[in-house]
Amino acid sequence: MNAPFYQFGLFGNDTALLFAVIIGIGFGFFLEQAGFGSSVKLAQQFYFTDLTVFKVMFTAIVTAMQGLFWLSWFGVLDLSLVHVLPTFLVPQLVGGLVFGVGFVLGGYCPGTCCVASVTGKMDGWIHLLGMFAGIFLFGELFPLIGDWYSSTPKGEITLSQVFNLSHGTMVLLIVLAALAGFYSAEKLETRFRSIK
Amino acid sequence: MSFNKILASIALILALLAAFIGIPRRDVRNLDEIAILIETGKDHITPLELAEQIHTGKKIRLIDLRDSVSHFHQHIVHSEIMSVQQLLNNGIKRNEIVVLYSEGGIHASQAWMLLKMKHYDSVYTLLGGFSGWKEEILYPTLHAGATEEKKDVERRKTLSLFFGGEPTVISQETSKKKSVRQHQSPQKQNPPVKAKKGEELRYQC
Repeated sequence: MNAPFYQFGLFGNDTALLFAVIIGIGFGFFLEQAGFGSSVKLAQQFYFTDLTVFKVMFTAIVTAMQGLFWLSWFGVLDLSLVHVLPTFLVPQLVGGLVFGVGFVLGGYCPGTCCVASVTGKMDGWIHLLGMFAGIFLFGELFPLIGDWYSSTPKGEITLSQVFNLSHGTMVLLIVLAALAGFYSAEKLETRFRSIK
Repeated sequence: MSFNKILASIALILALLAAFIGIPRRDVRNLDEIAILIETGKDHITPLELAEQIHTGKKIRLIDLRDSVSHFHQHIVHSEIMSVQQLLNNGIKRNEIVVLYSEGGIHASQAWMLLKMKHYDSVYTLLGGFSGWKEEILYPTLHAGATEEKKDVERRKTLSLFFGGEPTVISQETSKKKSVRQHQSPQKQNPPVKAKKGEELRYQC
């Protein structure tokens, strides 16, 4: 058992940052290759005419989830050392809503607006500017909203804990949900493209 | 069958197997493994083994779990003082060899157990704690007897002096105690501090 590498001290902060840059570039490259550098394509998911974003993101979740489960089962990865972002229910629900509204209005999410920017798209740059303005504003307002930001804490919970199911059962349920989602997405695309 | 359908089938088969397995390996620490380590003595290192390994230059991280007063009064060379909480919160790395010690060893054993539960594999306790270190390394009573034992006595005397100790050698022929005072120490000494009258403070390690 020697993963996560950083947790096992196989490399330090500097190397970790270097890996972050390499992985970030790879992530951006594949987002661009999937066509996510175009706000038109991204916005089409809200009209159900192109659900590529949904399919790609759900595929990523399923792949990562299966990878974590099986690497842990083969004794390569120590699952208990994988960082789980703590849940703060109400602030994160509001954050998700703000994120969604921003996505619908601007046609980009934070990652895809970076991809669009580096491929020279003006709307990508405007979105990026807006994102940094939002980060700045949030930072300035943090003393006022800090208490609310850390309200309704639920700890580092996972779906397995919430539903009191084993990791494996949760993996099966999410894969079934993903497959059902992919099937429905295909049907929706066919239907709404014909209407258009 | 399309490529997408093949991938979906693989994902489904793996998910069904995952549901059958339930909990991935090592999600919960196997307590039997820890019990075997304790029973086979692989949870600790003796003072002599530790002294020899440090002397030969092996990279070992020594953690002193005693309070700061005890640590300042006397400690093993290069050891770091750390609380159990600090130890558990990324105080050490998983790929370094760590030896924990407390005064007698109980506190170190408790910390060892907690670290084992968190999958730190190269962690050991010092057998007998710092008391054992003093008895075995710093102030040992060595019985010089047969020729083959003399080598061992010399070795232990060297180690004791290396760590700033004062070994006492008892010669079998004379049955006379001979204390070998510290003449030299290769280790850097801690700065001297005024001791109270009649109180002997040892800053050597």
